[in-house]
Amino acid sequence: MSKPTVAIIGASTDRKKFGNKSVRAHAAQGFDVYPVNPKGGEIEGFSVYQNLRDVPVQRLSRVSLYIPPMVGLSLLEEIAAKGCDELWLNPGSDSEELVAKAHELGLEPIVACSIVDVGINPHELNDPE
Amino acid sequence: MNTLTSIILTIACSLLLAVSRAQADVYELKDGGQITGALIDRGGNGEYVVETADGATVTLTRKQVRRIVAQDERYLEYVKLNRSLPDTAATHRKMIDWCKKAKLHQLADHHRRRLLELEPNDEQARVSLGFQRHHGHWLTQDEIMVERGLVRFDGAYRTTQDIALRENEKEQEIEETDWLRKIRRWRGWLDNRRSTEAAQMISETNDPHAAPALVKILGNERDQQVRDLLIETLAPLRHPLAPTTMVDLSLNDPDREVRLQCLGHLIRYHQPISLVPYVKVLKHRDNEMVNRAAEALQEIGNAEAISPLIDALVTSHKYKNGDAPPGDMNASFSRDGNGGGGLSMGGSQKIHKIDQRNLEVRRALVELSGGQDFEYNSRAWRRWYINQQVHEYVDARRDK
Repeated sequence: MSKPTVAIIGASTDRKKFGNKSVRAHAAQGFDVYPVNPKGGEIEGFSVYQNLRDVPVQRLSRVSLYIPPMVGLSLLEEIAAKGCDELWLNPGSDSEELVAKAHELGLEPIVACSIVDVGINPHELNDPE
Repeated sequence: MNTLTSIILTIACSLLLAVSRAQADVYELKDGGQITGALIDRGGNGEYVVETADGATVTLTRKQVRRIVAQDERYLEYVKLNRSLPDTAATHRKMIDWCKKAKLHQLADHHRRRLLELEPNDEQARVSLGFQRHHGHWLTQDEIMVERGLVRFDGAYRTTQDIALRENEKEQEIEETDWLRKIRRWRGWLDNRRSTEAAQMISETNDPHAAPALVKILGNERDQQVRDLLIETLAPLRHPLAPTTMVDLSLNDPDREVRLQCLGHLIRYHQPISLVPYVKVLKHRDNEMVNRAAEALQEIGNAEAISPLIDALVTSHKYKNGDAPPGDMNASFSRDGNGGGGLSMGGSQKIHKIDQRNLEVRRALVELSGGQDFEYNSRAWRRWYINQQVHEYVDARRDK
């Protein structure tokens, strides 16, 4: 059985940020992780894709957003074009408008923390002081 | 026989004799009945003239018709076909294929559901109906999400906590809207013979949900007596808008009495008071605002304001030609050596940068320091302040 796949949009190199914790959490739980950030580079040893189109998977198991709702809104068509089973709108990335537009595009929005969903408490991912 | 099959057979009976036309529609009536037939004419007032399958002509007014559901040949064909088939798994599989080809997707799903009643493990039917295998069981996506603690609500899957918050917010919105309606009505009464009753109703309001309504009406109110009543009512409410509005008015209301009144309410009802908004205003480009903030800090009486007040004893402000307040021009040069002066901007328009001594800042410092007064000498104030800190530090260690 193939591994589930996830694109983390708004992935971050900063280990304090949820966009980084999500990369680590999904990887720890057996996902193939594709961090997406226009800056590119590398996060936690994974190559960063500058946009979702470049992610080398035809359809993703999930897309998890760590960006402001207005930015998310502008990316929805790209996400719909790529295709995903679940669209995770993490706390702070959701809005009524975003949820409605996601529906229009046939996406299945989930307004909750995708890190918690994979069974990890985000606080467990804090580095020791 | 399930409900859908009964409906289909009912429709089929009405069509049984002859359906020679390519297009028949179902006219659903407001009284609950329905007539199936083809539209052959429209009356002068928009009536529908419908010819039924048995050749009868019926005229229906627009008021009688709830809605018109278009039927097409494929559907009629389906009705005929389905009526004669036995209720077996094999038949339903055939009907699923037939419906898919005829693009009658809802009916295909109907046959899938019946097929699953007969053969619960038909994988193709399960998958087509959105079931997924989950820990050895067939579950719908909603059922799987529930297992993961997520429930569909307001167009998305959400946690139960999020749903509870949203429901709570909606309830609050309803209550707040209700208060807005009530207070608006009472405000209207204040201008007529019911004014005493209205004033009493407003002043007796103690539900925190009324706060947004009071703030909204206060924002548009010009009558000072009414404003006072609204402020008095809002001030004690346990709602975040009460202290924030009091802070805002204590700094920005043009009437000093109102500013002090709001400050008094803050001190009475909303301790501890955050100094942050007042300290920020000590750096305001408008000198009057600096002094308002200082006066408020004096009233609040928290010694933590001393350090930022020392920094605001003398502040620089820019004035266009002739706009500088009279008398303050001489205050450009402070005793502690902080220089001030004018500078030219462009040709005719001159901007003057003037250092101003802030009387209210000094008064606040005298009050908060317990009677010290180094006038506008901020270095002397700072020296005294640091000494105070050292004393406190030493005292604290002795106590140990």
